[in-house]
Amino acid sequence: MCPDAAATSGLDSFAAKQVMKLLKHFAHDGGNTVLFTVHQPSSNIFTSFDQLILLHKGQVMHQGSVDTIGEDYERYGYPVPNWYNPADWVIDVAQENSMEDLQKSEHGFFADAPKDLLLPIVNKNDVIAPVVVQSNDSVSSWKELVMLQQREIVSLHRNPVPILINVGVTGTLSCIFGVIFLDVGRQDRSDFSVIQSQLGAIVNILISTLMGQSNPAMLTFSKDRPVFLREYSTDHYTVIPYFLAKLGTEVS
Amino acid sequence: MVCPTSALVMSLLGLFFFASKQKETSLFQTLAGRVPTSSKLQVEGQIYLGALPFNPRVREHRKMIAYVAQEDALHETSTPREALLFSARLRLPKSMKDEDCREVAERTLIKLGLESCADTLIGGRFLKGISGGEKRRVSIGVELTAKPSLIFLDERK
Repeated sequence: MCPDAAATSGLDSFAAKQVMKLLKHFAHDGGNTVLFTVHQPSSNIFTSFDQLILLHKGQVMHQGSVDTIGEDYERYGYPVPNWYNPADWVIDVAQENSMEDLQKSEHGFFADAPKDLLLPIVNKNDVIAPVVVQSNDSVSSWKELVMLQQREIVSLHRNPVPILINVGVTGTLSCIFGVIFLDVGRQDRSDFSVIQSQLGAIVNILISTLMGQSNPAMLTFSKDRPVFLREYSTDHYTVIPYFLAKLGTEVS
Repeated sequence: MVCPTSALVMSLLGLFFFASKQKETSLFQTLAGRVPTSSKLQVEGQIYLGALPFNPRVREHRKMIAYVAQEDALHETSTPREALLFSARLRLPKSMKDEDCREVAERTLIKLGLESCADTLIGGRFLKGISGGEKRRVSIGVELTAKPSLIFLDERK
């Protein structure tokens, strides 16, 4: 069980391993890069990393290959004890020793100047193709709209409760207003208080129409916001199709 | 699309952060282009991908990176299969046929061990759905289906 292992947190050890295996395959065979932030990975997760950058109070304390972590820490004067998870040990060392102790030159932490840090990782002699993505390979806005609208409709079918509540609340309120202002329109307008009642009735109808529509929107806003932000920033769709799809759902 | 990161020697990189949770997330979000422009955060320095300058705020650049945030933000009334398919259809190049998108989504489902819950609703606070671990895997899967060159995985607090 690894309660605190990166994006694998919340997974049992088998699922965590499975995810790590997939990510490793993605990295090694696909030529991609995977960056993890981790606090306290279990030893099997830790050893599946290739490179490690250790940040302490905003500075790079150590960086290097995970395979050589034992030798590196021995050189620093803090050898990893036997049968100890190196991931736990590097955290213990960083937290139990004062900043001054760690920065002493004989230990060798914080040694690398920032500009040299990436050099062992990036080989500048490699020919690197420019960072270009063809911009015309994205799907059309129309397809985005269709996909979003489909999802909204399916969502309405699967979870009709919000829409039922909306109809129920608006219906009940309208009935109450209707009883309060019953037959106001047919009364003689020569009396000023009758005109006041008629105005009141119109205002109430307008307000209930507005609030009846905006209340459910306010309720779903907090739920939909993170989803929209994630999908928007990862270029699932642009704002206009999203807005149109939402509008289409509201109207229907 | 050219894959510039294939030139990177690094492939799997573990980052350890002892700084406060907020700083760590800011750094990661900056690298992944998730820091809002209105934010008061000052970003200094230059981000490089390979040996070339990289600006994650540019949409074309950002297309190459995937970011799995701390919190799962999934559409509650979709199933994992639909979530992956949604991502595949909208984010893979236009030239990909629908069957290919389906296959990518299906393969990712199997690799992540999500077959058993592929047709259960994801669910949320008031809607019964799949477990937290399964949600986490769906979040990762949604990013993997887009075939990015670079993945950021932020730890849950």
